[in-house]
Amino acid sequence: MTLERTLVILYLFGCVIIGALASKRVLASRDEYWVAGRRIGTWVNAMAIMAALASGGSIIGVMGLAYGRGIPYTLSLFAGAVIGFPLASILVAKPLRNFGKFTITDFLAFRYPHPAVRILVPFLIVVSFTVYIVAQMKAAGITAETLLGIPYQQAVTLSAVVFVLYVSIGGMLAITWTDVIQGTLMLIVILGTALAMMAQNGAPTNIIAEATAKAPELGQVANEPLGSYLGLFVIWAAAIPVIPHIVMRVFTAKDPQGARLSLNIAMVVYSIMILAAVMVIVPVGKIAFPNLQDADQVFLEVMKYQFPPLIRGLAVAAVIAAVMSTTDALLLACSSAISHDLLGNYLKKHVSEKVENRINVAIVWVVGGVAMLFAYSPPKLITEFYSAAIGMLSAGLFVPVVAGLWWKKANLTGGIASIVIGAGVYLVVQFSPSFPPLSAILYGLPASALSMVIFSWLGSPMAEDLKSTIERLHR
Amino acid sequence: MASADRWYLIVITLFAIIAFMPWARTVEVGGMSMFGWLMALLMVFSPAIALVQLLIRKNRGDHSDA
Repeated sequence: MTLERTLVILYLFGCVIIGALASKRVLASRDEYWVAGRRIGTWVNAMAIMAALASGGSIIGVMGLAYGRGIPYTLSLFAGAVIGFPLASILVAKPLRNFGKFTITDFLAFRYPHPAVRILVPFLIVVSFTVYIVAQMKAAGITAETLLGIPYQQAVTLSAVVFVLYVSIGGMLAITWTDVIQGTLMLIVILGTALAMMAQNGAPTNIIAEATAKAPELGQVANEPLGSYLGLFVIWAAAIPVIPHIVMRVFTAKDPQGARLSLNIAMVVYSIMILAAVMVIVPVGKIAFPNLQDADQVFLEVMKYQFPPLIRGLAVAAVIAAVMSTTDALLLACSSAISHDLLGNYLKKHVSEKVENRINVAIVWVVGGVAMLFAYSPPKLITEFYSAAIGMLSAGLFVPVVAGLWWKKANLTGGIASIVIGAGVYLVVQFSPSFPPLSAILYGLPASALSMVIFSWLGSPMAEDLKSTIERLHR
Repeated sequence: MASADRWYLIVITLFAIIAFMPWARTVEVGGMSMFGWLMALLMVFSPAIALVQLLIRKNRGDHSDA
């Protein structure tokens, strides 16, 4: 365990140092803290986007989901996420980058100017992202427990303190620097593991054929209702264009073209990594460990029993990197939802930018602490758990954002109705036992679109100056 | 919206509809349902085509919608 622990301690220490270095630049200005001064280059931004999306869920959770529910079910989720990138690139990247503010709430509050928007949207973001962060902390906890022998609760506490520390002091700049390192580490470990397994077991088609001969459920669609497959696909396709920690990356790009290009590059890298995990590592894991109690353990068991200590140490660092690269972005998005979106107007009037950034730091600690407490009693199958939470964001925000950018008849009444009714219908269906799991988005999203159309028709048309500003965003 | 983007969205949507058709769930190839293979294909080709399309437009100097 000594070598693995040393590697992980060095890695965590490095992240805190990066946060400390970045803090000298970011704490003086709002622009620097939230969007890294809007000067992140295309390749760095692409790697940061990939790392932000490729969470602990994408390493621990994706493999657990494929092990427990089958490869087709898992691919329907990740194909949805991959489709979400071009949707984001085509539908929102350019106009939102031209808009030039900090958050998705800034755009919605501008497009649908009503104080309720600055309460509703941050509320949705904070609730769903806290659930997302809890899932990440579980991934960190079980990894350190299985591969390092650290008790689960201690591992969750340690990882939470480290990433809250560097996010709170380093802002978006620290997140970008560490995300590039974390994304690279994840790629090396996942692709390296998959290549090593292919060298032993042959091409992915052979590995899948061998695994499904022993466990046919791995390749079948029969495990879950169709609504769940379609629901997972749609949740993530609709989430990527509006999910705050990805949208904030659009705002950090140097220019609109860089924003689009970095989204597309991120999508290619992300696809390769997920396919390697699901179509190579999981089938090998299923053959070697056919009866795991906790499906989320499959990657860790593979690493524990089939690779030497150095590789295991790298794997732990990669999983913690995946957790951190997403959690840091989620923490920053949560913090911005409270201090910028919800309290921003008050803070701007009454405190300096420096004091405002100190408040951001405090909020990061509070959100991180709350998530850590929930993570002490973790959910099963983390990817399903956080996908359900992200579905609420997709149901509430996708239609108002896209219609706000592309439909001139969308107005204040329609915007607020589509947020409230979309998220409301989603929650009702999600908690109703008579619908298939994760199918709530198939009701929430159409309800949101229908509300937008009906209530926009009932409300007053958009003001002329607002209309001309929206048109300018597309130029 | 540029026409290339519009076509891209139409093709991807049609592909997704075909993938979710009932036949794709029942047919199995190499131990896995056709639905799984189609999702994997979507994950490979969708990003690749989008990136190539964007780079071609960038090289042509077409910044109208890129």
